[in-house]
Amino acid sequence: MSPLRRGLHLGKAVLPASALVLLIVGFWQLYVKAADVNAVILPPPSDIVSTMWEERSTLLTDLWVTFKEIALGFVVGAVTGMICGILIAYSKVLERTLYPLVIASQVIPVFAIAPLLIIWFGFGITPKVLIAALIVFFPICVNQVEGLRSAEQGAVDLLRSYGASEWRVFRVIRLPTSIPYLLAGMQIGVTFSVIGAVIAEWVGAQEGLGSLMLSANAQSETALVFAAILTVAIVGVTLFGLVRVVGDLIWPWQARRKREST
Amino acid sequence: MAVRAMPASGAADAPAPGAAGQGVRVDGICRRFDTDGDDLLVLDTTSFEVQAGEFVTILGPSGCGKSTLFNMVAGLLAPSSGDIYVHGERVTGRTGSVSYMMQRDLLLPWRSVLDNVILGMETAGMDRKKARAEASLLLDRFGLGRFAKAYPAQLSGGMRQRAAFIRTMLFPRGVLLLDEPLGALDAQTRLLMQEWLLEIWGEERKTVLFITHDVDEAVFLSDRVHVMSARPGRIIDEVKITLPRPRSTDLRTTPEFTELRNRLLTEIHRESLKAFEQGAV
Repeated sequence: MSPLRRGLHLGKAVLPASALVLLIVGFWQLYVKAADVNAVILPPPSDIVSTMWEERSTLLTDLWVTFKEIALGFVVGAVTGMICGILIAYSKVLERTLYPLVIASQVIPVFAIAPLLIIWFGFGITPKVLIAALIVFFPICVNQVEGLRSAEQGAVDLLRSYGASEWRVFRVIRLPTSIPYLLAGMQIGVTFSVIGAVIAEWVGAQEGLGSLMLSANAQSETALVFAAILTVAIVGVTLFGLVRVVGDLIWPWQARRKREST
Repeated sequence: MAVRAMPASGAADAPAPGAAGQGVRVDGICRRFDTDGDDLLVLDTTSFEVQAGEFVTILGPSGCGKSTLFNMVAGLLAPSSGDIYVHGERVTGRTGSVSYMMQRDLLLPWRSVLDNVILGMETAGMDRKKARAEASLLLDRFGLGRFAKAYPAQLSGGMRQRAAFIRTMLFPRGVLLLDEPLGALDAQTRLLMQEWLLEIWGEERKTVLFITHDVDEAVFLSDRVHVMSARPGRIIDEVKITLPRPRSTDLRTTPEFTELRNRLLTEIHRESLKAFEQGAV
């Protein structure tokens, strides 16, 4: 597919959602102006945009802090999730001991242990990274296990019949089979890690978008609260898209098949 | 194409069927499976030999242990007793001595056709570049050259099966195990593929052990046909197919073909009926 056609394709894909957003924002703006709503309760979208521009240096500084937490948390969570996934998929003992714990751990809301992590690790970056990592860990670990297991038995047997070692079976069949699962886990994980970092900041932080939301809220600067929320949303969507684009680059086969089937 | 290294015995210069050397020898193997405490005999004591360069078919009803037999020859499954020899060497329970093709094509969807067909060579430790060069030649020769860079999802069922067969040919071993390789194809494609297969086999004369439950296919392709019984499987008859080679599709209507076909049909019908009554089908 040519770049132009791909661009048109993408335009068609995001058009309905953009139209809906514009409609809501338009209605919001008109309603606030017409009903003369107090800006502390609900600022009009135009105020939010102008606040974003005026406070751009504050927002960018806090964005950088939060972004570092998200990125580090994502990397730590993804790497440990993948390693644990591989170990669980290959070891019966770990499958029986570790896997039930991994699943059971999801019953405990990570946010409930956030205050504990603050007590243990202080107000610095560490507890935020850990919270984000814990959230990212689960979908990646589970998808890695599922992905490795979903390798076609016939293909594994075929490779073994050639005299292949278990290591080769892993490299040539199991790992490639698991990549689409892993990418799906990463897409979920990266979105959650944004939420994780923001909430960890609520519990205890002096900087970052989450802490900015809290202080703006306390000072009744509602437009700034919305500006911070919007910034967080933009970060989340951008990271989601980034994981997808990088995934399509390192694993083009999947993307090509998707495009051909549409 | 260059003659490839073959372990032991003098099969290297592609002898005529039955002329020289032993391809495969199955020596009294049997296999039991333990299912829910029930000891199930799947393959009864079975022995046979395939000469180097010979095309031998195992014909049997569903569930008679044909695929179990092949898994043992391929080394994926150990026999409960007995031994398997390839080119005179004992290979019981050892993989890597034959080239196995299963019913489904099992092409890896993320690899191009070219990178799929070199899978066996790659596993055998051949340099990727060299393997690709050799595979390209074979793909060109057998009409798949245009599809070398295509992905399996872009190919028809017949094309995929051809690619799988070329992958089997390229694994540098003198013995091919073909487990119903044409079973998933429609009737017309299947007939064309039989001729295609014979054409390629005729050029290389590798030793072939073939599974089918299609009687016409068995007669058309083979030098010899072993008929297997319903479970527990064992060989109950051996039929020599003396039809001349090279064979073309006209052969299918000759009286000789019909006679062999009828004989095998009677036997396989009797065994299928037994399998049916056992509830295996």
